[in-house]
Amino acid sequence: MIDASLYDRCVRCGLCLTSCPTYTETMTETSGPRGRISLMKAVAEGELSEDAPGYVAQMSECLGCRACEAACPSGVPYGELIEAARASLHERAVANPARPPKRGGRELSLLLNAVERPSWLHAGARLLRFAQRSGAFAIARRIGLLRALGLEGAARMAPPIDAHFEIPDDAVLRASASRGRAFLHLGCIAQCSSTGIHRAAIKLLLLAGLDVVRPSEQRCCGALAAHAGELERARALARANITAFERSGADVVAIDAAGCGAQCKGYGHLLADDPAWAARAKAFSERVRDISEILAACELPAPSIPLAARVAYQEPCHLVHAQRITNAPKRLLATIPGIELVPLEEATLCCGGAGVYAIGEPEMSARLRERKADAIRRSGASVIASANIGCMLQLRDAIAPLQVRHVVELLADAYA
Amino acid sequence: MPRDANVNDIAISDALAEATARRRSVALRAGGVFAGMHRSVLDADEIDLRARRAVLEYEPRDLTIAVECGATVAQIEQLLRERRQFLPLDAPDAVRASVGGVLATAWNGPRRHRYGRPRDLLIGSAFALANGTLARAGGMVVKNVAGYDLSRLFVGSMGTLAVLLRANFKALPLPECTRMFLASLPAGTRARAFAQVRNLRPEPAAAWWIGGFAHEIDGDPGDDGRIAILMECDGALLERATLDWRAALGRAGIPETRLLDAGAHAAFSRLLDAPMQLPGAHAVTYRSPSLPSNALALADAVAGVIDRFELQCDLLVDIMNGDVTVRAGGNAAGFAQMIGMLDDALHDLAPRARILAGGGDAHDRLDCFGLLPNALSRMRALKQRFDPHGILNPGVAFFDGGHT
Amino acid sequence: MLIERLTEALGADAVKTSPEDLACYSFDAYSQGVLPSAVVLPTSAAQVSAVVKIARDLGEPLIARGSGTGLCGGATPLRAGIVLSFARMNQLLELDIENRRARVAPGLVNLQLSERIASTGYFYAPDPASQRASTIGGNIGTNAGGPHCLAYGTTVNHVLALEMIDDRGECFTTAVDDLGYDLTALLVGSEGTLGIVTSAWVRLLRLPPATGVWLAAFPSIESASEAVSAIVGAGIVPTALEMMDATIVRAVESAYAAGYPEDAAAVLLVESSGEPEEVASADAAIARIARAHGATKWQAATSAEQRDALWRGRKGAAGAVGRIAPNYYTQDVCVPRTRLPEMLAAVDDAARRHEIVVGNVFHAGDGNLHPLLLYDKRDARQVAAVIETGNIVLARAVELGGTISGEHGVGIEKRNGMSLVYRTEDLAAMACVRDVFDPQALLNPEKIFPSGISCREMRT
Repeated sequence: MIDASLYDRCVRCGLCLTSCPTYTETMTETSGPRGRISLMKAVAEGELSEDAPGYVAQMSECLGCRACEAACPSGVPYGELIEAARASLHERAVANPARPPKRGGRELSLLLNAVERPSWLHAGARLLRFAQRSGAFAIARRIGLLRALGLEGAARMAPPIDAHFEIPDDAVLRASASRGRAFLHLGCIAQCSSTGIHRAAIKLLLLAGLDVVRPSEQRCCGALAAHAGELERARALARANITAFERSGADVVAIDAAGCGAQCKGYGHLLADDPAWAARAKAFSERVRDISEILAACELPAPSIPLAARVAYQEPCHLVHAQRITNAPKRLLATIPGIELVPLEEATLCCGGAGVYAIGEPEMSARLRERKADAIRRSGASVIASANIGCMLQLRDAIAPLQVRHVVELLADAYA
Repeated sequence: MPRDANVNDIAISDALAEATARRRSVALRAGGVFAGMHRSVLDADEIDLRARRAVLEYEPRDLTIAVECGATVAQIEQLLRERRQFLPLDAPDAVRASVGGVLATAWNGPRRHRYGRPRDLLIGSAFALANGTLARAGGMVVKNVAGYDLSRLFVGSMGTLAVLLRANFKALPLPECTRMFLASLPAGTRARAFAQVRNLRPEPAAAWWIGGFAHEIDGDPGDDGRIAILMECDGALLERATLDWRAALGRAGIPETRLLDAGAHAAFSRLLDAPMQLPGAHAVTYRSPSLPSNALALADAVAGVIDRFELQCDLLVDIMNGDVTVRAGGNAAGFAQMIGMLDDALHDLAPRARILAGGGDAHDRLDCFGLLPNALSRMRALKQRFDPHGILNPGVAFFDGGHT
Repeated sequence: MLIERLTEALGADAVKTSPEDLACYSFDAYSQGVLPSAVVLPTSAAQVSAVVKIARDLGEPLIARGSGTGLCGGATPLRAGIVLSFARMNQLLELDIENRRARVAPGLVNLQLSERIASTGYFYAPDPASQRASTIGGNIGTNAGGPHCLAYGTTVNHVLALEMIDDRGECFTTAVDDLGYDLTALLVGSEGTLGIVTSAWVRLLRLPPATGVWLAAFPSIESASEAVSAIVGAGIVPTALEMMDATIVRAVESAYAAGYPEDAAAVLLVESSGEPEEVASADAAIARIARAHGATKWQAATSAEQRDALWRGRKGAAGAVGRIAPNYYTQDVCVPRTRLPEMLAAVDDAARRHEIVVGNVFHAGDGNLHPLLLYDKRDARQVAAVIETGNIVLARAVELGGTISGEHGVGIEKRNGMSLVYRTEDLAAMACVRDVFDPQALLNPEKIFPSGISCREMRT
């Protein structure tokens, strides 16, 4: 049950409203943070059933982008609230299997299983790559197989799989003049898709004078599980990552996906009630840095290869809101010779990606994706810079032929 | 009785209560400066407010002042000036014009884009209703959202809703420097001059284009008329701003600008006074609000009409706010017949033109007000509720249904 | 019947009736009310008119709502009724830069107007602390102020014309240039009780070429308020002159790390805009006065980021107090500027006597105070103490020649306080206006007026 001290901090001032993507789309109080908090309070205080359809729908419709948290003057920990609300709904579902399944539940469950197990992930990715390249998806869709399997949404969302995966190994990559050691977190999907991001991150970390390790013990950050309300799964993954880091001898955890970074920075909170792990989790979280934070704080040599493009930076929610990082990526981009940075309207509004949000809320996800795509087209940019693989996958097709690339990819390209 | 009611208030309260009881009409008067702007009140007992001219409260450190409504604009100006403050009511004939008159007619001056309208500076009032009830609204604070803003509701009421006894204003610090810029416009420079003046930095306190008014306003009318621009600013800014303004006017094709410092105030007053002055009995002055972007075209169109009637045309265009003031004058022969047609023709072009002053009872014979407000029925309902027997300034305007 | 008719007029997506939806519209930033009968989200004046006609037929009250950020309960439903949310009527309808004006739909968020026109070099001046979320329609309803109304005036000074729907569902318009009674000024600040705004022309001002922001730290709140009086009395009107006491500064710094000195007893935030020379003169003159009144620090914000950080801290101050106390009650009174020291002493004294903590953050240049009374709602003693202290503050403000609300409005919160400032005759005159515009009291009923006040006293 949600602790009253969390929602009681909300004074209902309403300053969060305009920061909320679903409020902005629907313009209804119920789909905004203040409305959702009031519903959580009503449930917690017994005025509303936890099964009330409007409540269940809102706990699902929230993207968890935490833009409201950044906007809140009273410091309401909205991320914790929504996590607790979803965890409670999840427990209720587990305790009562007769209830109708959650929308997209089957796909989500498959995905959560896959990302926890590297062998499943890689095998699945190979299968997916085959399906994507051979046209098998198209055939399966035509004969209705995907729908029959309940996998239609998953197939639509599936990321393009690279030919070569970025698989963790225990080798140490040495910088020429080493100032320290960075633990590069490789995530789950990013091991198999858009692996150029990791390669760029490694190149830049080495340039910045940091040795890089990518220990094979590391696991998915657990964000997908936590957002689905499955906190125990998330905790198990967190423990694995903490252990891997402790054994790596690294000084800093470098993360090039904003969603993973936010989750890892929250391990201290996630494991706060576990006496054996609380202190270790806190120590781990204090070492976590987004790749842009690390690079902006280093004396990188001046990049030399120009980029003749108009670039707009789309701020990932889990960077700007959850981690409150907004200047570092822009400063890094600005060092690229020839680059023209153009402003993007609503640059801090969620693109609708939000991890696995599209599985459960495909319509709202699509509305936000189109809203973002429209803003991008109006900006006149030819390249969109992001800092989170989730956003990049969400936007890729929607803004083609415009390109979406990670900040570190653009920056790494500027070095010979 | 309210704690701040004085002998005068009670006398007026009694007079109104009695008038209502006997169904006798009451006519309010003060300086008479704005008398040409509304219809005459016939057959009524007069209440002369000119004796009610006391300054009730003035705390310079609060920048607020409360006066009785018969106080003259000049009287307040002088008092405030001693403390380096001012109240930009911008009334014509300030020596005679009363504060009550400014508010009753919703007089709007040329500095309103910068300092606000008189109603914007009004923060409270005391008034007597038709039945003699003494009441108040607002107060002596500059921000106040406690209840309806009745003080401002009375602005423009032409004395038909209540008798305003006291008006509270927020005063402003007097600008350190005042400088009037006067220039004649060479042929073909007028439109550019308008554009430049509208964009001057610092913003002019007031700016006019003047066509005619040769007797009322000093200076040489150029081929394209003349302009007068008032600068009010900090001393540290004066000389740099003067250079900038002259450069901007130069870009509009105006080679020379005359500056008045000591004479700026007097020149400003003459410009405020001009619209109310008539060269003789055979003249009438209208003012129409318009959008600043349309003001020049409206002025030209109006001048064209007056030319058709072969009358003398004087024009004054408020460049910052868009008011177009036009005076049509002629000789006795035919003016009386012609003016009716002119009135129609002018209202075709400028439906919202209202009469400011006119010879031969123009305000009673012509369409004194122009286009009536969209919310007329609500105004009449308010009038009916506040003065059910119609004793206050009956027939003075359109609130009691007399005017259509 | 109600729901069917509303749905027929507006479409299903614009009519909300689920218990969860109704619950989310049963409150605003001040108070928890009752569940409305329905919530509607119209998209046009015609739809608003249709809703009013249906409500009138069925005797349902109408509560207009912008973003529900009001602090006096103006948008809280008190006896069911239909909540009319203007959130979807949020367009910038016309932009007329040449004549420095814009026509907006009432649901347009205040700050979004200025942001959308920033490239033109113009802005919309009223800036209530809620401007990030509050709507211009809501601002019109309460005649909202804000820190910059010291120089620019409140909402009423920036509304040029209104398009309204009346209590019968008919449209009418008013404009400041209209002949006759100034209905525009009457309607602004009438808290949705005289009509419903469906669009407004508002003034735009040119962005000033230079802006300076300074911080002054004072050893006592008295010396800071004396300095405020002296600044205004010296004929200097900065664009903003804001005060925060030590309690507030600590809360703001913990929330925003905005750069306020935490060791000062009171801090003034001063902003001056205009030509560079004017800003420089203001800097010198205000610094001199501040020092003469014991300021221990006079520091300019040197970058746009610093300026924004200071303002972000100031505008988030009330909310930031949520970090140092479980609950707080924001009072809003306005007194003549010279009475500020007495008023602050009275606030302090009342809080001490009732053993509650008070934080002061307010528009000092206008004499508009916002004592924030901190408490814990689970403690009945503290709740009673806050109510009592709030009442003392209101009464003292009136004794000092002030008023019970400078900018938040009356709503539910201050209905009874109205009798402190106005006598029955004054209130009856207001009630007559209400009676002319809305004789059946369908528009936001039970707001503004204390019970027992009616127009009848006025009949002759």
